[in-house]
Amino acid sequence: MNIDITSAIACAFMVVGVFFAMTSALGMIRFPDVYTRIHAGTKALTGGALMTLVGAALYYPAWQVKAKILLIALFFLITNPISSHAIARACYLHGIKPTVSYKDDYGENLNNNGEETER
Amino acid sequence: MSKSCFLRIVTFLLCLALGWQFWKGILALEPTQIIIGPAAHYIESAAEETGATNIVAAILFDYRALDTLGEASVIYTSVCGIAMLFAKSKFKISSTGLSFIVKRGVSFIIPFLLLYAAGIVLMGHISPGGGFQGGAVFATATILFCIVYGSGFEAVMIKPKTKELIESSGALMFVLIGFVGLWTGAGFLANIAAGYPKGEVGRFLSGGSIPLLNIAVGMKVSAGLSTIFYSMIKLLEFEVTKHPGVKNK
Repeated sequence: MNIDITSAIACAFMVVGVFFAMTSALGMIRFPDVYTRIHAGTKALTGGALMTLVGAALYYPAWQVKAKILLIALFFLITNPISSHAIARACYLHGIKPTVSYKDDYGENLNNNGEETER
Repeated sequence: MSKSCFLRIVTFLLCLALGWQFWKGILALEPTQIIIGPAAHYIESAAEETGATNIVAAILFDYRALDTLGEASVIYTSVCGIAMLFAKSKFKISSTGLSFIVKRGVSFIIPFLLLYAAGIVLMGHISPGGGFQGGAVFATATILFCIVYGSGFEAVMIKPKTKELIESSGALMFVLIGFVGLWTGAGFLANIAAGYPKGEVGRFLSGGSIPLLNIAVGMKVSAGLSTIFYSMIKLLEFEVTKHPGVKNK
């Protein structure tokens, strides 16, 4: 039984990615409020999709394909935190409070200044 | 049996029935070996007759170009109607857009987005894509401007009048390209028969009038979609002045 070592590593990456996606789906169901769910949903991309893409990049021999896949991964890495940040901020400004919170710096800053300072 | 349990079982059965239908659909999509009728002709001779390796583009802009003109005019009419409906709301207040992080991030992405859209439009005859798809991606860029930086910024960057000009000139370009065929006696929207150079199949400069029609449709679709979005968000932003979560001092 001869298994290529590169494809074995690629498969391991993909399995880790699938694990992240599964965990993220579990978190979407189990977590109590919007913010923790956003946290879980982000893991599907930064953990799951990135690992799967790295695995795919290792799996395919042609370097053009590798470059393309890594560019897609870079795109995900840039856009995903931005979009989840925008969603979370919009949720907060819409008036949704987290179920449990110990310290709320952003809310204090908003209430002290009337509006945000950094714009 | 409690009510919620009953509902769950009904939902489960419904999902099962739906899944069965989907499965049958997947089975129906199995590739058939024999292709008959016009499909066989298109697959055999589309590349020779039109010079475009993308058969979809060949059918859209050569064999059935008149239908595409009809589709494009449907978009044009809907854009005109929506712009007329929302014309009364005067634009006064623009939102300041999203946070600093999003603004910087999007400014990093926008050039690549525009390049991608231009690639889809210009390579429509040799690879998957075309005017409609690339135009939609162009419109996405302007819609991102609208959401992220506020519609006031977008209106300053690309004036609504300019958008109207681009859209109308795209429609005009499409019809004029068609009239060339009528002038040479080959029929409205004829491609190779009208004297457009066919070029070498598979190269960038090939396909006769197909790339030109792609550009025209791309101009039309991009300007039209962004006009629709702008005229709708203008109405929304007029209502909302401040985020409800922020307490006034």
